[in-house]
Amino acid sequence: MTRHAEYAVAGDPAARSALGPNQIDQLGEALLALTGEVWILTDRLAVLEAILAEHGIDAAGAIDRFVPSPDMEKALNAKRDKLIATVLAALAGQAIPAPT
Amino acid sequence: METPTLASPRLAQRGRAAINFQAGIGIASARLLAQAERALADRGITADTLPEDMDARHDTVAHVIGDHPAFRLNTLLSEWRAKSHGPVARDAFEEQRDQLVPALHALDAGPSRLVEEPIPPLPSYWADTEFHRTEGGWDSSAYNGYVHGEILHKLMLAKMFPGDIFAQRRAAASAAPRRDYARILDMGASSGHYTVALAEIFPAARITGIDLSPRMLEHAARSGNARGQAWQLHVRPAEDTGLPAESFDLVTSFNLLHELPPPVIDAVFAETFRLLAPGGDMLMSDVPRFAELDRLTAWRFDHLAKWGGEPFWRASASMDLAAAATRAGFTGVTAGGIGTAPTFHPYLIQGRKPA
Ligand SMILES: C[S@@+](CC[C@H](N)C(=O)[O-])C[C@H]1O[C@@H](n2cnc3c(N)ncnc32)[C@H](O)[C@@H]1O
Repeated sequence: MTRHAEYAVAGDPAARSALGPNQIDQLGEALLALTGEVWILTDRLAVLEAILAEHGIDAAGAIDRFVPSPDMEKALNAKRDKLIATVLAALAGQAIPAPT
Repeated sequence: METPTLASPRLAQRGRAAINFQAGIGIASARLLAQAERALADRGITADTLPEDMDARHDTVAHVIGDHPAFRLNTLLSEWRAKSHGPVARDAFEEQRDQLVPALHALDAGPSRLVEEPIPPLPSYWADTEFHRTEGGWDSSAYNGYVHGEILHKLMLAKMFPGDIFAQRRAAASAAPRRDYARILDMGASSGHYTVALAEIFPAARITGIDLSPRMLEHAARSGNARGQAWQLHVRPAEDTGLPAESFDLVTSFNLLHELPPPVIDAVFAETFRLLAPGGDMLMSDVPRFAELDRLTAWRFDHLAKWGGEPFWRASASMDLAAAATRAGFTGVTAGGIGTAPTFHPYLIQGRKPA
């Protein structure tokens, strides 16, 4: 144990502050951007459930059993990347990227 | 009367919910500001005790409630919304592009048109300013007339701003002293919201619209065609239209003047005078005069204008428009707000070119 420890760089919690004080506003904006995304999903889910219910389908159980196809997985990944890029853009103080 | 595309823009779910969220943030932001103003009052600062100078007013507010959580959060929300509303609306359009583009081009044919002619040199105060803090300003994308005029106005601004923003335009147009104008010029017609009100109040008039933004006017032409109107639209500066002297009976504008530096406002009044036939009427509507508001209300406008990308608002709202109109030669000049306290928005200025 002690023999290995001498090779390790000592962790310094104070040095682990990744964001500088001038990034606190950007953090706030990132939080707003993220809340917007969460809202969009909340809205979409409510719409979906309402539409399915109109067709007599109880979605909740079916959703838990669902396995995405490779195509759907690809589409989901693209959406995920856009979500991450939007949040990161705010965090970095950059313009929100256009859809690709 | 309006096509569904214009009356209530049909967005896909993501765009609809994202715009709806922007409106929610705008409403939350206004609530936070009201809360911050109450904190200001609790600490003894009111409309009556704020200093006269606007910069000093901002300093006082910053000194007294600068670290109040509601004020800080209002700042955060304002900043984020100013930067994000443009991209959100642009993306909402893109998401529906395949449906919207053909629907919009179906409205290209008709009696309203953007007249094809060489585009005059664009003044630097317009071309070099990113109005509303949207990258590219008024002409930021090929369909920005629809993005700004319909998506943002109908699905965001109309839900956030107090009062009915379209009824305000009808009220302004209705304030004109006559109903029988044959030739009307709408200066700063943009995507055509005020032009719609003019066509409604003066159904027999021949309406011409000018603006510096081709993207906005293209949309105004579609909006005119959707209503069977024959509007002639030109890309021209209001201060130097190149249109024939004495060729209009009413020259009017809604929310143009606060986009202009004061010397250009003077030039617009002079040009208006030149364009009117003797006995013709001038009617301009814009944001309230700071000097006629209580100091807290004026400070609030200035605060919102600063975040909203409105660089000339303060200088323009500090200008005495009645004096400017009188300098230009107008007689019987009247000015004042026609809305409700404490802003009395919209503010109207009227005068006549002597017969
Ligand atoms: C707030 S919008 C006008 C709103 C419109 N009248 C309405 O009722 O919604 C201001 C418009 O003024 C235009 N503008 C700015 N400076 C101008 C100028 N010097 N001459 C003509 N139009 C100008 C802008 O391009 C923009 O479309």
